[in-house]
Amino acid sequence: MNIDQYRREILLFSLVGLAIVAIVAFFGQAYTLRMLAEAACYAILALGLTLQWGYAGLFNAGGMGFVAIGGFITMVVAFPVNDAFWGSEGAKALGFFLIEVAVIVLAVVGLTQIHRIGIRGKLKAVCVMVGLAAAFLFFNNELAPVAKLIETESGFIGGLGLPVLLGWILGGLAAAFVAYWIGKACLGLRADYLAIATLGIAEIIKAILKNADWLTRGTLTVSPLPWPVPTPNDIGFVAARSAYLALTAIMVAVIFVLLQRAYRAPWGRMMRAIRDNEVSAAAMGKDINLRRLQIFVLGSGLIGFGGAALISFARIFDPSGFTPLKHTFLVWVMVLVGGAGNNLGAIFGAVAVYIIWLMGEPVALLLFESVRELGSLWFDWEAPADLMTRALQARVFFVGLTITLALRFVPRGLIPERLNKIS
Amino acid sequence: MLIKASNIVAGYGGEPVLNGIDLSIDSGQIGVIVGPNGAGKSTALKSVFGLIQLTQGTVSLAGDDVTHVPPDQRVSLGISYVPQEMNIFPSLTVRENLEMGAFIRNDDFSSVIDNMYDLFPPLKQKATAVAGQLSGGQRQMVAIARALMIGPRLLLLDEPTVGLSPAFVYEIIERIKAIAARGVGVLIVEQNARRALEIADIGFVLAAGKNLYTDSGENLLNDPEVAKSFLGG
Amino acid sequence: MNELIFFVNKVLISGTIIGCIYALGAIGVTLVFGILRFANFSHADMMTVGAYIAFIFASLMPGAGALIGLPTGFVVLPLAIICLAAFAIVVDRLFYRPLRERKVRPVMLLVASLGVTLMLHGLVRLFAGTSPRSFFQDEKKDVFRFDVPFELASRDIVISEPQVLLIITSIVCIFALHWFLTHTKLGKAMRAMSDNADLALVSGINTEKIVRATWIIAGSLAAVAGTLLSLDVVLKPDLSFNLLLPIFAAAIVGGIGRPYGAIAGGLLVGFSETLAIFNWSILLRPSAEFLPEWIDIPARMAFVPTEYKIIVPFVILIAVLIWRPTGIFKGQVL
Repeated sequence: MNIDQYRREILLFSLVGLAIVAIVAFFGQAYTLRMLAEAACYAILALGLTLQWGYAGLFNAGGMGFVAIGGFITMVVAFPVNDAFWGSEGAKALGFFLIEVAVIVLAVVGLTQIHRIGIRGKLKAVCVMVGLAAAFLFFNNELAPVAKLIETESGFIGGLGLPVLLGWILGGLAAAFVAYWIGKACLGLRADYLAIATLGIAEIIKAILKNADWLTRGTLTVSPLPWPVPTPNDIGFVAARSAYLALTAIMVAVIFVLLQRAYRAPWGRMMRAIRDNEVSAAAMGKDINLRRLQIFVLGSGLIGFGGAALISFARIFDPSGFTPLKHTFLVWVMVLVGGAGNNLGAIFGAVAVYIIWLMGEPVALLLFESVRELGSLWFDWEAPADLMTRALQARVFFVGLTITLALRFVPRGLIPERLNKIS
Repeated sequence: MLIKASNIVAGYGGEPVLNGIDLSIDSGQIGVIVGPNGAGKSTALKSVFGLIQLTQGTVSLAGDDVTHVPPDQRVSLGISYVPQEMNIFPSLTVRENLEMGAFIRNDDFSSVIDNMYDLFPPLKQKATAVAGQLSGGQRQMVAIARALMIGPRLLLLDEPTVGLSPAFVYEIIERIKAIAARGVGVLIVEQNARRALEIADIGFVLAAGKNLYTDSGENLLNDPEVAKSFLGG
Repeated sequence: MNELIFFVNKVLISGTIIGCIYALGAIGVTLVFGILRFANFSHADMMTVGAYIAFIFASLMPGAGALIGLPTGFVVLPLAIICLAAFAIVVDRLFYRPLRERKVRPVMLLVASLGVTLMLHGLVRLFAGTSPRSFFQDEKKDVFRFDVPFELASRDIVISEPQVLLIITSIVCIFALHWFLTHTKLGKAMRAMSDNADLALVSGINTEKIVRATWIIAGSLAAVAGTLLSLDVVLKPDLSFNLLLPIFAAAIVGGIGRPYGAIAGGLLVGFSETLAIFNWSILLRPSAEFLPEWIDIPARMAFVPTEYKIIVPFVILIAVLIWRPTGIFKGQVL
């Protein structure tokens, strides 16, 4: 840590500050507050990811999935109770179905114990497989009519009407729970496998949320999601968004402080040792996988929590709105550009990249509008009708380009990890 | 001198493992590097092949300085290296392993392969077998034969007899003598110092990254100091 | 009998088709994984790009197919292969080789491949838009119907011309690859490097040359798979992630660095998918008359609803990672 690095950090943060001032001037307060509140939520996501990637070298390519879990749980916990559902036949059918599921689960668990009555080895494996397949078939076919009943009677099951913050915490816990099982399967193997598995689980979670209309209203979306602070309807945009920003900023600060403390503690040093030199750290024995699992679960929990905050802010739960681009790779760019393994870098990256991402939209539109103008003026070019949607899609290209350029030219990020050697 | 490494200082980042060692052998000679665990024997061999960066010292092959030549180009200059572990291509057949040894050759090398079959008769029967399924001794033969395919001037062997049954140890040692008799310089790292020094023209006893003794194998075996410290009395 | 023909059409033919696509993709992934040591996330997007290149060629020379009586998209395939192979090498030069030269951990290459996949994503959407396109705008898609010589069977076994071409081309590709890997110096060196990269270097094998060959093969197979898939269904820009997971599953099931394993894995994943979404009650229906009255066969009895198809490769993937991470063909443990 030297003066140069301090100067650099001050310079970078001042640049961000200037950008924010300029945006207030051009787009107004309400817009800027929205941007900052969302950036604060993204900062939580980036802290979660930098914990996994920067501290432990774990490759999580499924941010979207954990964001979606967080958002979904918050929706269920905090959305007002749907009385039409609780009084309907569908509620009874669902209750009955859940009892059936419990029985099936017990039966399958029993089936895995049949070695006690003398059925072992291959025969047992076959029995368990057949049992699982049958249970799965049964589950599918029992669920379908219940879901249909709920959808026709009352739309969807609705929420529980509990506090939003409880929803965020439960959302984080649910994401951590899913991460635990993924981690258990993949963490003994190379980073690549975890990347593939997380990518897969994210797509599966999205597919389920998108198609389970009885649970999430699917493509019909659920809105308005409640806020933990007064909403714009009550006190106006600027005040409400300020309150939301204050809340999320406090959370970022708390998470930052806790992570910094962990980073300096022996636990953090050990994590870096594992990341940097797996072979010599392996001398510590089996512990490695357990440590990695801890980090992975914790990081995913943070992503779920931040995702919950992000989705709540949007006030709409739309399963089709979860995209790998916005909820996985944008966060990756934030971490890589900010500097993996540095919490301050993650927060800086989140704010800076999110500003660029939002500003990219008008810039791209402007750019393509002029391309269209010039093209038709000079070459008689007839632009395709969907040019403007394409222009927005083209931002993907720049996200990808930023990743590759960052890897090549600033491999340690703009605010690199501080290597205070303790040896 | 065929190969001459002088005053080599090298390591893997951090404390150097080698603190200025000298090694040199001539064509047709067998040089043996012995010493206790952690003395830097394997590191010395790797530094001769260029697998690790030297912080100091030079390596020359037949008078030409090769200190900064990367390992894959040292192969073209006639140096072959057999690592201690993972020294075959397990999913390739024996014959394919030999062909890979000859990757840099663009001539017809089928006679060289026949030569290897003569040197290691078991390989002829196993020519189409997958190398990963051979016995330990046969794998070691594949590894050495692979390294010989370029017709090297210098052969570097890292613990070629480790983990082999006594019959195979004898077999491999006999082959190494035959290879040297063809005029190839052979530099071996050995755990079993006594047996290795028996065939050594020159022995290098290393300890803590430095040359402790350098003499003919016979003299080292008869030196009471060496015998006491390194040959188990 | 009709039910059986339905099964043949829906499971055997569909499973083979999708299995071939997965296999062709998985070979590329497994070769890159084995030799460059990273899971190439951009592979599925390379397939998409290959298909679009073929589409551009096809629209540049309409009627080229009619001359030989094959779909134009298929006739221009060699051109698309050449372009995509060259493209793969350019991508390597620009984005992977600089990192390799810096000797970064292989997982950094994986991050770079994510960047590449997003760029390809954006490029395709920018230049081609998001709406699906068809190779058969001006051509007729031939469909072959085979009458089954049984009295009870009134339905035909149906297979389309692109599907036949896909199966034949896959078989040709696989045999050509086998010949290349076992009979040429370069092919053997590829296997050698995949087996033991350090020893390959020590043996004086020119690793950059091998890397180039790997990209050429992976790119070519991606062009074949992408083009043939879009000939069979439609050409759309968002194939990528839905295709990526089954391809990875196939490569891992087969064992990393094992091209033959990738073929087996591809077919396994393809058939598992079609079997899982197949409505089994159709096969059970004829037995209804022999069953007691109180058992009625539900109208739909599939293991997985079609919308959740992506669960199948995921479950296979996780199962393999837990029980046998080296895959059925004993690939590398990385």
